[in-house]
Amino acid sequence: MSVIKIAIKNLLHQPLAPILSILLIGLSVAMIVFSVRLNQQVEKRFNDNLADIDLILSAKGSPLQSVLCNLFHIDAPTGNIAIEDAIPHLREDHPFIETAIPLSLGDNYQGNRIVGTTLAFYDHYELELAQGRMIETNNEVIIGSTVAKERNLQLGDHFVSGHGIRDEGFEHDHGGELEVVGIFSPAGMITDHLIFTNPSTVWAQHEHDEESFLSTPVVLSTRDLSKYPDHEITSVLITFTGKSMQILNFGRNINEHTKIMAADPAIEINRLYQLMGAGFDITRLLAYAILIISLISIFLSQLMNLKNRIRDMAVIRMLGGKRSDVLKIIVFESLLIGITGILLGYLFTFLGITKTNQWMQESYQVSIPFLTVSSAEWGMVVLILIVCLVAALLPAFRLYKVNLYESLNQDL
Amino acid sequence: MNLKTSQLSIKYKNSTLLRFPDLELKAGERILIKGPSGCGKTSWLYALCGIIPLHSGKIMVGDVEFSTLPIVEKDRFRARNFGLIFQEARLLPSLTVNENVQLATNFISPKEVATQIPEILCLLDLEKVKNKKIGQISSGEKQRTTIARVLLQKPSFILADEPTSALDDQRTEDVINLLIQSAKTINAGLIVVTHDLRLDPYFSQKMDLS
Repeated sequence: MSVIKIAIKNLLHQPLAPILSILLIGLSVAMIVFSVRLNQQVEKRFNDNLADIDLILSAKGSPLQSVLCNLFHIDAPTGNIAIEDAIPHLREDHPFIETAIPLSLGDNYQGNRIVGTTLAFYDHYELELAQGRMIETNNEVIIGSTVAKERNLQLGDHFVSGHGIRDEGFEHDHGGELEVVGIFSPAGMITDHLIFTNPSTVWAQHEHDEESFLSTPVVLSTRDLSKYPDHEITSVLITFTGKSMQILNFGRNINEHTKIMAADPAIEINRLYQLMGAGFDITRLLAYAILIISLISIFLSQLMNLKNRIRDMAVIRMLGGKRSDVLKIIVFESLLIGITGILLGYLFTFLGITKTNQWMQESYQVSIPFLTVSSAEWGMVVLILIVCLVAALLPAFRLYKVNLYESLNQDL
Repeated sequence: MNLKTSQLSIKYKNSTLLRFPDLELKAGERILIKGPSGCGKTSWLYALCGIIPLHSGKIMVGDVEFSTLPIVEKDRFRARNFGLIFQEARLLPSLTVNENVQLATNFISPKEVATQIPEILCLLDLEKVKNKKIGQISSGEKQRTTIARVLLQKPSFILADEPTSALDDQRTEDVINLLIQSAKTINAGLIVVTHDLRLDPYFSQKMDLS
């Protein structure tokens, strides 16, 4: 019978304390792993979807809301802006602006947002058609790969859009059906979850009678958009030609002297990330506190069990075992608790990911990976095993100093 | 194999020196070590098997001067040559009867010896309780489990410390007969240390420590 088997038997003999320690370790591991993976995923998502956009022009309101809405598509628009106000920034010959991408938001299909935009968007995000063609007239859409998959949409399919950025069941009465004319290849970004159309389709969808719908102009390019200063869009995504003092003051000038708001995505996301980061840090701190409690419980249960250990050591030594055999048993017990706790923690994590991934995907377009183990997680695993080892070593050391005569004279 | 001691003495922590008479015992022989409580019988037994360090004297087991071996070697030599039985059984409570007996093969005896476990359990009437934990069996069964372990260990000498002092007459007879029979089975020398006068008739060789 190996010392590992004896260690397992010992744990099963009085299982309450080990089970408690295992549960505590499992809980803290799950909290740490979940928090680390979510943190990494959110950070990656944020970085991927920033897409080098330098500034967002939108209706005045919360800059963070504007960034979340227009870049990440997880919040409501701050309102609309008149094209008249945006025209100066849509000029192709603007000295500071390299790209200006208009966005018109406000509709959805079964929860997937419909984005009215121009070719400039597809060029900037490097979206490629997997099937079909580009939009040529109103009421045509190109869908992201995830939309095609989840909504089971194919080329030539028709659907009626809903009003609002969430699926609340309000369909447009006079906007006519939208036709899928293209499907983008997967890009691994939020764009996979969006439905794209031209800006004037969004206007057409919001007309209140058949006549107005039919008379809606067809706008396909940013240049054409400037011909309709009395219409509205939601925002303009801007990239700059470079960096200069004038460019640095560009956003501030807009905020101080125009009716529209300029939001810097990098600054807003950094602010948001600091807030979220604090949440992640607190979660991790709590998890490590639970971990410390569980390791103290291992240490105390080993220490309280010392008398039994001394008696066991007498038996093992009388049968030719060494003191080190007893020490191995104590260390194995402690490591077994640690390893089982870690495995249980990962089981909790997988269950948690399974339960929450769909909701997180739908709400925030973030999904936590199952199998990617980061260096931070490996560090946690090693740390737990080392601390388990340390928790076993003090009782083991005390035991090592007891001689056979003393151990035989322990009260039974 | 012979066991021979000469001029053994031990020293307690309070500096009391205890001297013991010499002993010579051959394989298959048995001896009763008598004396009143507190006269040092258990200390002598512990000294004999190297659990208490000697102040003076030497212990020869066959050709080996056991008393001078280093601790690790002494532990292994003891496990090979001395089977210890106490008044209260020393067993691992987390293991079953079968596993406790099997433990004898864990560190010293060759693993093949484990094939004899069913036979030994049968001999000591432990078959029915072989899968029970130590906390689930009677004190008599615990005692027999210890003896079963010693039988599997096949030591040259069986040392029993007060094996019957808390037992009634019938159980005393059962236990001492079992010990004598077990020693015969493996041709081991048997040393019983006791203050129990009821054991006198079972031994021709006796030594009084009083």
